[in-house]
Amino acid sequence: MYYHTSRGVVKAVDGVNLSIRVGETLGLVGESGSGKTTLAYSIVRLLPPRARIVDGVISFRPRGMDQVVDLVKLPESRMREIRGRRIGMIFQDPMTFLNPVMKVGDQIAEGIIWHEKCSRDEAKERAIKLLEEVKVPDPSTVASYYPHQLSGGMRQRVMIAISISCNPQLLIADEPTTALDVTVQAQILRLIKELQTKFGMSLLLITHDLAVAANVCERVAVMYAGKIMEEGNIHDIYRNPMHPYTAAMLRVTPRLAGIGGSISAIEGELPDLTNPPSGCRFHPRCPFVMERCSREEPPPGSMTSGRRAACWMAL
Amino acid sequence: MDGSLNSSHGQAIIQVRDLRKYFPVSTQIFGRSRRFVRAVDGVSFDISKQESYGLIGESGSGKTTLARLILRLIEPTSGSVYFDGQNIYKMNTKQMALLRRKMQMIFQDPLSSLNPSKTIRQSLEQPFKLHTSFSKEQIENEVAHLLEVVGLTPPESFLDRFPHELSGGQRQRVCIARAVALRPAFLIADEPVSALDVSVRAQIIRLLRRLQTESKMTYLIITHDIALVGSLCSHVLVMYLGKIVESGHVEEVIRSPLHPYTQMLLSAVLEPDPNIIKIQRHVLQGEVPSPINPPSGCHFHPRCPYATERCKREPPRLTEVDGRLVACHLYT
Repeated sequence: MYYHTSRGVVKAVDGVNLSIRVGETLGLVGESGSGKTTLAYSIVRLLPPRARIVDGVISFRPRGMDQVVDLVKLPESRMREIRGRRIGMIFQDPMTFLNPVMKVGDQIAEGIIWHEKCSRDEAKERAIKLLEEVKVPDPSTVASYYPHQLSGGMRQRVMIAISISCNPQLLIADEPTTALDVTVQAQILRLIKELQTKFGMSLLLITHDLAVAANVCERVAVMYAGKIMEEGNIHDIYRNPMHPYTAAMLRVTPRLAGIGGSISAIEGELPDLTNPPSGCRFHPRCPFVMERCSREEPPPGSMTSGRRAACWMAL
Repeated sequence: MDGSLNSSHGQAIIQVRDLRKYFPVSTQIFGRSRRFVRAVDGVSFDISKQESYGLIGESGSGKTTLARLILRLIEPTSGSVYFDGQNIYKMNTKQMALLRRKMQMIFQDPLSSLNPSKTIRQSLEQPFKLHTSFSKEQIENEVAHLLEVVGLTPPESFLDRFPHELSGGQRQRVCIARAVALRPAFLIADEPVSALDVSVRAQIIRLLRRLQTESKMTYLIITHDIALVGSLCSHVLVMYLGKIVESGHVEEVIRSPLHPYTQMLLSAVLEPDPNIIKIQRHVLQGEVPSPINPPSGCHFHPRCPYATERCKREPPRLTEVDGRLVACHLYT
C-alpha cells in the first residue's frame, strides 16, 4: 500500500501478512506513521484517492459463502455490500463520523434500511434496540437526539450501535477510545469486548497503546514504519518480547507500579517514510544494532508456535 | 482548612485562595444570563517552591481554567492567587510584565503554539528581545545554549528550520526551550506529552525532570494521565467538577487513594500486563455530569458506590485525613 505524495512515494504498508480467525481479537499496535490505520482502511477500501494498493491480496470469506473473495479486486458495487454489513467500523472521533444534522436514531436506521431493505419503522425499532444493546440509558429518547447533545462516550456508543447494526462478521475499531477520558475508555472497551463475544464477531483493534491491546486482545501485531515487527499471543509477547522495538514499547508504556522510578526512553525519532532507513527500519534507534541490521532487512519471520519477529537476533 | 498543609514542607511560591471562575451560559441575546458553568468553584491550595505538582481530572473538571487563572490569562469571578506573597490580580500592567518572566507555560499541541512563519531562532530570540537588554551576540549565545539544554544538537542544524520541518517531539523541545529561556521560577505544563507518540513521550518526561532538578523550578503539570503525574510529580491535586477532591503526596495518593473518585480514576488506568485486566471491573460507571447544573451535595454522588443521603444534601469540605486533604463524607 503506497501513498503518492508531492514528496515522493510513502510506503505506508510494505509487505504485510496478517490473518484474523473467526471470533478472534487481533490488536494492531503501532505509533503514528506505522501504517496501522492505512492497513485497516485498505481492508474496507476507504483509502484517499492518492493512495494505491500496489500489490497484494485481502481474502475475506463472507458468511454463508463457501468461496473466499479478494477485497482488493472486488468491484465497488459488491464492496458496498460488505462494507458496513459484513465488516463494521468504529472510528476514533465519533463527531466527525456522525452526521451533525441528523438524529442519531435515524443514522442508525439508515444503514439497516440500506443493507437489509426493511421498512423505515422496522429499522427505527431496531435502532432503539441497538441503543439498548450498547447500554445507552433511555434509548428511545436518545434516538431523537442530535450528536451534539450527547457526551463523547455516548457518541462513541452510538457509533458502535451503527457498526454492529447489520451483525457484521468482522469489527474494525480504529483507536476507539483515544479521544475519551480514562473512566469512559474502560467502559467502552468493556462494551466492545462484550458485544464481540455475544455476536461472535472477529475484532481488529487498532491502537497506539499496548495497555489497551493487553486488556482486549488475545493476539497482537506490532507495527513500525510500515512493517510488522512482531506478532504473537499477548501473554507471550508481554513475558518475553522477541523484537527490541516491542521490548522498548513495553518499557516506555506507563504503569502505576513504576511510580517515581527511573524512566526509560527510546532514543531518536520516528522515521520519515518517504526515505525509510536501510535494512531493518528500527536499526537507527535499536540498542542492539549490529552491522548487518543497516545492510540487510530481516525477513518477516516464520510463525513458530504462534509467534514471529522480524529481527536478526530472533532468527 | 484552606489547603495550606503542603506549605509546611517549604515556602509557598503560589497560594490559591477560594478561587472561583463562573462562565455565563448565554440564554438570550439581550439580558443577563442566569446560568453559569462553575468551571472553578472555590479552590484553595499552596504550591511549595521547587516541588512538582500534578493536577489531574477528567475533561470538564476545570483544570485548564484553573491554570489560566493562576497565570492571569483570564480574570477570576472571585478569590485570589498569590505569587511570592503578592496578589497577582491586584498587580498593574507593569508589575504583571515583570511577573510574566517568572511564570511560563507549555501547551499540549506544540504545532499550534509555535508561529509557523518564524524560524526556531526567531521564536527563541523573542523572549530575550522582550524582557532583556541583551546584545545581539548574547542573545545568539543564549539561544544556542537553550537548544543544547533541550537536546536539539547541534543547534546550528535546528536554528534556521521552521516548525513544520520538525517532528512532534522536537517541536515540544522547542516549546520547552522557549518556556525556560528566561529561567522562570514557576512553570505550568498543560498536557505536555499527550500529543506525542509513546516512544517520544518518555524522552520529554526525562527532559522536564532534568530541567527541574537543574534549574530548581516549580512545576504544575496538568494532565488526565495519572502515570505521567507519577513519573514527574511529588504532589498531586485531584479535581472533579471545579473542586479539589483530594490532594497529597503522589506515592500515597496512588498507593491508597481515599476519595472514591480518585479510586475510580486509578482503577481505570490500564496496564500493559495482560494478567491485569481492568476493563472488566464494574466500579467504573457514568460520565462527568454537566458543570452547568452539577449534582447537589457532593458533585460525585451519582457515580459514587458509597453515596449516602448526606452526600446528596451536603457538600463535603476538604479536610485533613492521614496527612492529606480529602473532600468526602466517608472520612468525617
